[in-house]
Amino acid sequence: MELDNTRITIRERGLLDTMDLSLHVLREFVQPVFWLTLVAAIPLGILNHWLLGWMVDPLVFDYTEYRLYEWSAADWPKRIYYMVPWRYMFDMALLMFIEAQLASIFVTAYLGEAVFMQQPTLRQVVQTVFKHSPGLILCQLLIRGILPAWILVAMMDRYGDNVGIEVFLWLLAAYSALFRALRPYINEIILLEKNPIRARRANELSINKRSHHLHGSSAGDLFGRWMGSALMASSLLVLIVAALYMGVGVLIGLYEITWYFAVFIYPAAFWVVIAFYSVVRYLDYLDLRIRYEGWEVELLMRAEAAKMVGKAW
Amino acid sequence: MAKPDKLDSTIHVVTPENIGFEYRLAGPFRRLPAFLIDFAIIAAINTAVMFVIGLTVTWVSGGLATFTILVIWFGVFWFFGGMCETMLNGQTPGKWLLGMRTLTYEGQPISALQAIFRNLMRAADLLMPLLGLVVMMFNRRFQRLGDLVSGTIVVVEERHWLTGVAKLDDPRAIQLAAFLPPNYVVSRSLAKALATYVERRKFFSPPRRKEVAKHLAEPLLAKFGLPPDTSYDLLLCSLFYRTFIADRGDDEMQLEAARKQNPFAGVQVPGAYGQPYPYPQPYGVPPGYPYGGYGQPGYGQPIYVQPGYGQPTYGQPYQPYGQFPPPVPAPMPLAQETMAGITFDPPPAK
Repeated sequence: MELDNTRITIRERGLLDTMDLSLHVLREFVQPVFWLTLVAAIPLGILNHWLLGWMVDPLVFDYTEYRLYEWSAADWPKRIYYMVPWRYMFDMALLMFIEAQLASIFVTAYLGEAVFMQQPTLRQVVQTVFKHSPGLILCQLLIRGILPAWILVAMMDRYGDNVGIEVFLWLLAAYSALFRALRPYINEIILLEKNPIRARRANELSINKRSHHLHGSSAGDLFGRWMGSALMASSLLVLIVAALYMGVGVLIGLYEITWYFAVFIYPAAFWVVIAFYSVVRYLDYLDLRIRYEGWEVELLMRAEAAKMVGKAW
Repeated sequence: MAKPDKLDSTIHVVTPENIGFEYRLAGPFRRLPAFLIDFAIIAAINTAVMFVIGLTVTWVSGGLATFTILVIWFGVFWFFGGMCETMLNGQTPGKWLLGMRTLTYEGQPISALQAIFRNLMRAADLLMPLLGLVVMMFNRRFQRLGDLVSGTIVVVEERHWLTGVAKLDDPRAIQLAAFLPPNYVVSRSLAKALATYVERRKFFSPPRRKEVAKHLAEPLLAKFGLPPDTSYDLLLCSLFYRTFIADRGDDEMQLEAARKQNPFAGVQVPGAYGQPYPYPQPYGVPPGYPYGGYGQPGYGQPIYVQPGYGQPTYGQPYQPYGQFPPPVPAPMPLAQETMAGITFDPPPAK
C-alpha cells in the first residue's frame, strides 16, 4: 500500500465541502457502495420487517378504512388504531436511525482500503468486518443500544397501544444520537485503525482509549458537525421520500401510503440516506484526523520512511 | 495502467489567454445556504412591496394595487438572481456572503444572458429537487440544470495564506543542523514532506509531534549516526532548516564566490556589473552610494561593512553544493558540548 498515494485529495475541509466531495466519491464508487449497503440492508430490513411489519400487515390493517380526510377532529383520540401506518413509519424511522451506524460498517471497511488505491473484493470486505465483529458487537449492538432497541420492539403488543415502549424507543434513539454526536467514528476506529477491545501491551490503545483520544479534544466541533449533518440528512430524507411518493403517484396514479410503499419504498429512502452518510462520515473522519492529528503529514512521513528503508508498508 | 485522477472538488480552468487557474467548485450542499439567503431576501422584498403598495396604491384602486404587486413579485422572483449576477459580476447577495461566484467554463465573467437564463432554469431544479441533486452528482463540475444550459460553473473564492518558508522558533533545531552530514542530499519528495511537517507541527501537541515525526526520524537517525534519543521533532526541523534556510544561504555564498571569479570583474565598462557608475548621478547621489550592479547595495542604501567579516575574500575557488563546512555551532544550552548523550527532548517532568 502506497501511503501517500491516495484516491482522495487529502486536505482540510468543512462539513459542506465534505458533503459535496461525498457526491464525487459516491459517483466514483457507486457500485461497491450499492452492493455493500445491500449486504447490510437486506438482513437488517428483514429483521425490521419481522419486528414492525405486522403494523401494516394487510390482515391486521384494513387499508380501505384508512382515509385520513374522512376523519373528523373528534375521531382522532378514538381511532388511534387507524394511525398505525403513521406509527409504523415513526417507529421504523427510530429503529433505522438507531441502526444506521451498524448498517454502514461494510461501506466504511471498503472506503478505508479504496482511499489508498486498493480494490478490495466484496468477500474481503465482509471478511474484514467479521474479523472485527467482537468490537462491533460490543460497541454498536450493546453500548449504542441497537440490541435493546430490537428487544423493545419485539416486546410490542400487536393488540395494545404500545405507547410506553414507543417512549422508551424514543429515549433510546436520543441516547444513541448523543453517542453518535460525541463519538461518531467508532466504526473507523474498530475497522480501519484496528484497535483491540482491551489493550494487551503498555503502548497499545484500546478502542475506548483511542475513541477518547480522537473525539475528546474536539467534542464541540463534532457536536456542531453532527447537528449540521442531522439537519441535512433529515432534509435529504424528506426530499427522497417525497420524490418517491410523488413518483409512485405519477406512475400508477395512487397517492396513498400503501403496503408496498410502507414496506419497500419508505425503508429504501432511509437506506439511500444511510449509504450517503456512510461516505460523508468516512470523509469527516479523514478531515478530523487531518485537522487534529495531521494525518496527511503522518502519511507523508511514513511514505518517505518506507522509501528510505526500501520497503512499502 | 493510467493512474486515476484524485477525487476533489476542484477544477482546472484554462482561460482563452492560456492561463491556468485552479478553482474549488461549489457543490449543492455548499450552495444551499447561499440559495436560502437569496430566497429570504426575495421573500423580504416581496413582503415589503406588498406592504408599501398595499398602503399606497390601494387608496387609488384595489385592482391596480394587486396587479402592481403581482407584476413586481413576478419580476423579483424570476429576475432577482439574474440581475444580481449581472451587476455583481456573477454574485448574488448569498453568494457574496459565502464567497462564491458564477463563472463560465473558461473562468470568464458571465454575461447578462447567461446570468438570467441560469436563474430562470432554477425553477426546473426546484420542481424536481432530487433530480437536480442527481444531475449535480453525476456531473464533474457540480452543474445544475441551469448551469448546464447556460454553460456556467459556481466556484468558491478562497483567500490562500501564503505562508512562504515556515519559521523555526526553536534555536536547538538550528544547532542540531550543524551535526547533520553536509553531503546528505534531500530528495524532492522528502523536502516536500519536511516542509509540510514544519508547517503543520505547530498545531500538534508535543506527544503527537513525536508520534508523527517518529516514522521518518528513526531511519534518518540511523542514517546520520546520531544518538537514538535525539528528539524526532528537532531532527526533522533541523533537516528542514538545512534544506530550506541554511542551504539557501550557501547558495548565495556560492553565487558570491562565482561573482568574485568573474573574468570580467577587472574590466572597466561604464555601468557594467560591479562597477561604480562613472557619470554624474541624477538626483545628487552622494559618492558613498554606488549605483547599479547586481549584488551591490541598492540605490539609496548606504554601504555597510560588517565588522566581523574582515576583508572580502576575492578569488576563492568555487565550491560545489554541500561542500561548505557547516557553520560553527553556538554554545549548547545544555551542559554537554558534544553530541554524545545530548537529549534534545525537554527534560522529563518531575
